Amino acid sequence: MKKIVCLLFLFLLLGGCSSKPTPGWIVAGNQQLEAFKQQFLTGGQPVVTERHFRKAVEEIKKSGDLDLLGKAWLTRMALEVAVLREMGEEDYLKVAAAQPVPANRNFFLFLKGQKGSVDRSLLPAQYRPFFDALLSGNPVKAEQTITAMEDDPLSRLIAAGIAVRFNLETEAILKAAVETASRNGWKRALLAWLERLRSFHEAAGDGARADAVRLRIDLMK
Amino acid sequence: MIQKVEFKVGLFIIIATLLIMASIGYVAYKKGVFSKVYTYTLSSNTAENLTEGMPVVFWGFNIGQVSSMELTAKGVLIHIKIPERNNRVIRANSKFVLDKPLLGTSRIIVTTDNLNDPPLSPKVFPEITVSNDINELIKKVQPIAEKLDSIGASVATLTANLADPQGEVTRILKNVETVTAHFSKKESLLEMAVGTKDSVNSIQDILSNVRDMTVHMDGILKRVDTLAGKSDEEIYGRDGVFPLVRNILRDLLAKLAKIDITLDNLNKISGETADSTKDLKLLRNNLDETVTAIGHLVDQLDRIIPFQDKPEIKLP
Repeated sequence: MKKIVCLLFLFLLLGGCSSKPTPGWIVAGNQQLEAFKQQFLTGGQPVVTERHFRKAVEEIKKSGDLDLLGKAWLTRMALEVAVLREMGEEDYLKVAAAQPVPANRNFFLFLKGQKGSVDRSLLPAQYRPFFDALLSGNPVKAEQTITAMEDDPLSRLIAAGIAVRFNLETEAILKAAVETASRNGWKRALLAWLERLRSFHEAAGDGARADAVRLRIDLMK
Repeated sequence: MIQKVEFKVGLFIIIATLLIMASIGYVAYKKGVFSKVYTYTLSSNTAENLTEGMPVVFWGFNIGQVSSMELTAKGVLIHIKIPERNNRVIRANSKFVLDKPLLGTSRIIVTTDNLNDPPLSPKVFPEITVSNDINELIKKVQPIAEKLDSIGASVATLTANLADPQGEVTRILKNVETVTAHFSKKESLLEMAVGTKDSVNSIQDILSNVRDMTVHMDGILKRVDTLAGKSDEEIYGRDGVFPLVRNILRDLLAKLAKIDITLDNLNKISGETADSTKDLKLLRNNLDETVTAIGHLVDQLDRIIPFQDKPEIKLP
């Protein structure tokens, strides 16, 4: 009990040194969005996943900040890219129509693969080397830049998803995505990427490896 | 004189004939008799429900008709005629669907996604797909009928179970009887809920800890109050961090005090079931409130601790 009291008192002292507190809606919105990401990638129950996203949007709406609201919808779209699903862009476009934010618009164009319209300098820093590879159309460069994104597993999956969408698919990219999803325990993403890897082997006529991947998928289900 | 009359009659007949011919020609022109007609060939594996003269429809407008059908070794070829003015809707990507509505006659419906696509080549024979309203309706009704069937079966099982002295319903009633008897032997509802007297003692220990914690919390509040008096306005003022934490802790203390009272009441539970149940519900609600309050405290501490990254909503 004494330890708890000391700890609480320490918190109070540290509190004295803090700067302006972060608004509650940002804290709650951020927590809900992070929970949504986790549920979405791990393949949590759709009802729970959607509830987290809805709460995140509700928290952000408390502030009326359309920039952050757009970011929330873009996050959802990026996650759909990361699990190789079609993006639902309607809600983001509604927000963008009300208040265009250049950085958000730029990221949207990046997700859509409209290479010519994307401003490299407005992209989040981790995607810039990959974007250069995307511009060059060189699958090997794309593979190298995706493999180099070790510190940010979600961005790595998103980049891999964009590469696959625009025919820069290589075995190494697929394996990097599988490994990233596997290491983070993102079951839904893992199944999607394994399925893609299986199709890749099948298309290449490598039946044995395709069967091995299929077996892995079956064991996971 | 006679020649003059004959001339006038002849002239009248000629002019009347010319006017009649011009009118017929105009009507025929307007009806598109002289316009070019394009013929396309569609394929199908059956001529069932297809007839010559059947309308070809686009966006609800008749744009042509089936002119003839031909049986070949590979199936049925259906020739449709489309006048030039409607020909722009027949494109390479057009799809042809034989629509068999529940009411009314069959027709061929054309759908074209992009009217700017190249025109359909007469050498290509697109296949007709079939949309059958009756079959679709039957498909929709079938699962409902199956569910009704299963509900009927469940009702029958339930009825049989009620009638059976060894059935599940009778067993449930017997179990209720046993539980009631068990309940009457326990000293308190809390003991009944937790199972053993040891567990009740554990709860009493927790109660005692909560009391200790309440005393400690009071101590913390007093120290915070002292600090607030001595520190500068910006950090410790009315909107500062310390008053914020102090308010949260005060709130937490109030919640803990409520639990204290409720747990005291639990110890006094007698055979009055209704009152005891009320206390348990209250305990549950108070616990929920306390957990929420502690959750808020953690959130608030998260926000004010400077070492932690500020939460931020950013692009992934």
